[in-house]
Amino acid sequence: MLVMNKTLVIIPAYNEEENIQAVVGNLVNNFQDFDYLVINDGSTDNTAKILRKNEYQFLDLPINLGLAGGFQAGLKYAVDEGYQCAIQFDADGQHHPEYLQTLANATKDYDIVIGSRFATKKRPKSMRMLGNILISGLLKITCKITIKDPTSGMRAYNKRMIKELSYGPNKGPEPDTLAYLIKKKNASIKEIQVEMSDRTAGKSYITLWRSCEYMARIFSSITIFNHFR
Amino acid sequence: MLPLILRTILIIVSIFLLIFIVHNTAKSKMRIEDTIFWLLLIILIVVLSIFPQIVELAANLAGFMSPSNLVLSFFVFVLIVKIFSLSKQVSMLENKIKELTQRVAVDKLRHKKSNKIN
Repeated sequence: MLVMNKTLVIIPAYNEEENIQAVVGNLVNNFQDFDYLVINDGSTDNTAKILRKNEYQFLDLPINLGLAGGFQAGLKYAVDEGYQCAIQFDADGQHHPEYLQTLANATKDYDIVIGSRFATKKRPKSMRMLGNILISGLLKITCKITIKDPTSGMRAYNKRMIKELSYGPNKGPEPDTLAYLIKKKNASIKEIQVEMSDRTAGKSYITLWRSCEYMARIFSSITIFNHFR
Repeated sequence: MLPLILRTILIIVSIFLLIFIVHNTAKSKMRIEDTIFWLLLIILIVVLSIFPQIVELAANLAGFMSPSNLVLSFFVFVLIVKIFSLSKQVSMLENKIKELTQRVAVDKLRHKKSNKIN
């Protein structure tokens, strides 16, 4: 049985035992309009146990795939079940579900809707924002598009984008994939102002080495590879 | 003295390697993260070919009889490191396949058993 006109909130989770119950519980109790799917990305802590105990809906990945692979698994599920819209949502409580409806509505007119911290608010010029600033600049030069918060993880995709992203390598929910979709798949993008919190519990995935790897990949992907895909 | 012919060959080979990498990635045969090593290597080769003074200086300091010898030794060293890294990647893949196979088999049986009960 296909779900018509419904939105799937995809929640990738790796070792989020401290946050997952609060985040998913909030969705289940206060946002019943939305279907959700947690992606347990081979967590080694009690994340899976908590998900099972509360009977939350989740994909139990037998091995760790990382954010791109985990989110893509959720997209495969979205394709199979016929969802019209899929929204990436953080498991650590940084994203606010109050904005889900606005994002979902906007996917009727746009292929990709980004929940942006800086759509209407000014983006600070700090070291923390350095990656964001660099990537925004790169996107402006290569795709002639202005995206103020290209690294935001709160993104809504319409059915066409879900199908595009659900299969194949190099389709992670990252800015270089955005650039590829804009240039080669005619994707329309909209940024909508949202609020996000800072992480309160648990460990962040981001380290200095990972940031360098990330920037190397984004840079080479946008400048070299996207022209030929 | 690093011969001009060698430098030219290195640059041409780098260009072909770059084309090969981009083609494979564009056809979705490679992940971008797996190409970063080769991209960096290509950049290094091109830089050394354009500025042979770097190689000549290094060869003198390290006691090589000629800069070409250093180039060869350097490539061999890089290949050894890369192959080791690949061995590690293969080991991890083997382990992942093992985990997946076991998980699928166990789930299949438990699914069958729970269907019988229902």
